[in-house]
Amino acid sequence: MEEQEFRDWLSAYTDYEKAMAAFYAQKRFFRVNTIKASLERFAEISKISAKRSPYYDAAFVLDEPPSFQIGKTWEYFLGLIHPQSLPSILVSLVLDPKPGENVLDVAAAPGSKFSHMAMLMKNSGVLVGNDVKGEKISALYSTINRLNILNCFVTMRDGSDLNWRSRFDRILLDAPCTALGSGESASKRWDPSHSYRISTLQRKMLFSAYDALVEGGELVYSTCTYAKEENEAVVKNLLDNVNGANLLDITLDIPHEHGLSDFGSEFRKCYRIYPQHLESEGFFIAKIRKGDRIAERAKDPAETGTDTGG
Amino acid sequence: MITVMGFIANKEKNFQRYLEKHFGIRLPETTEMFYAKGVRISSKGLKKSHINGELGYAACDAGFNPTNAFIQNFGHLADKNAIDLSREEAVLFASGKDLPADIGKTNKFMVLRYKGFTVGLGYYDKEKKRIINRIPEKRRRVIINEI
Repeated sequence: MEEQEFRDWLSAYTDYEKAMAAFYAQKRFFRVNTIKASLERFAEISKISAKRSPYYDAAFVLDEPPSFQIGKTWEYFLGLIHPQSLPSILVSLVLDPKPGENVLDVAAAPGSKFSHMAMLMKNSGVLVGNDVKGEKISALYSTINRLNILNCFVTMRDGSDLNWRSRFDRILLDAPCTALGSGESASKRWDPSHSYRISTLQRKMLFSAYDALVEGGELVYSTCTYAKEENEAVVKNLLDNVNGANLLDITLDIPHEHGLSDFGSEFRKCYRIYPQHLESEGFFIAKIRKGDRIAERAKDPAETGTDTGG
Repeated sequence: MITVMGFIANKEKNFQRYLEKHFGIRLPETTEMFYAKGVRISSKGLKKSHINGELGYAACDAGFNPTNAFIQNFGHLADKNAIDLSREEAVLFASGKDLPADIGKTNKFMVLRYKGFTVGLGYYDKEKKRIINRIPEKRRRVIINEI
């Protein structure tokens, strides 16, 4: 897409100038892997110049020259840190997996969010990392070994046909997308038909992931793109076609814009993170619960019309 | 079937005995060892989870001999056959180089550490008087900083 066209398109979502200026001036972040070293121990030994993020204790913004290669540091080699953008770190916090739970990451490779979830689960419970591509699975294994993750299985299923019914307490679906929020040249290669095409896959993956949730379980759907066809429309399609799917509030106190209310007022619960918000890549995040909507309505006299006035 | 199961159980026990005898490593209570195309170490409960039985692989693949992945995860627990490296040695070893050494008359696996952290697995070759680097090529790094 030509620059002017993209400018017009993105301006419908957010301030184009601010978004693109922040996109090209993104900061580099990393996460401390507390499975291997506590934050105190890390602070004691690391000489990497970095500042702690105000939004999460284990997230740091790198304060080194652009030529500094974090992948060649002792901290990286020893598995004490993992380079990861701030919005990507925050996605796992939105899902909030707990120790002892059964958790699934549908598209886990190369394992940044996956390894963060293992850390939040304190390396306990069951964490299943799935990815459909064999070559990406080897990258996932490298991450698992380097960061000392012991609570996981790795599987290679088609994310749009997982065929697990009611198995997981929490599921992350960070769906394949057009990457307009993260890829430097993505906007040049992109046109709206790409979003339409990939949204078919995203819809199937979301249905499949939702099916794998236990009743009352929670799912986070995220992408690193801005197109509503890949974000709100995908979530709306699920809400319209299954019983009991509810959008949940996201309680992270971070700069963001709300989801597009053209799809319904409840979409304001979704987060649209643009580069200007966190000096990092753009993300869309929605949190969904599998709850029995009919049962919930039955409990609400105002909705069911039950006379409780005595 | 019983024979097979017995063979598998022995592999686990033998590996555990080897770890204790050779490295002095006792695995943490929060972990368990099981067999799935090699001896594997996981957090407790993973093997018995209802997910098991239909899925692929579990971390951490310890193999039948210790693997580098195993040593990088549990090498800090070793109190035998572990050596502390100087900065120069540690950088060389992390980059994939073997190290010259004369540490006995037996070939053996070694844990190589730097400042309390495990750099990787080495294999002492008494003939060559070297510690052979067992860090997989993809894991090797030319380290640029200091801790």
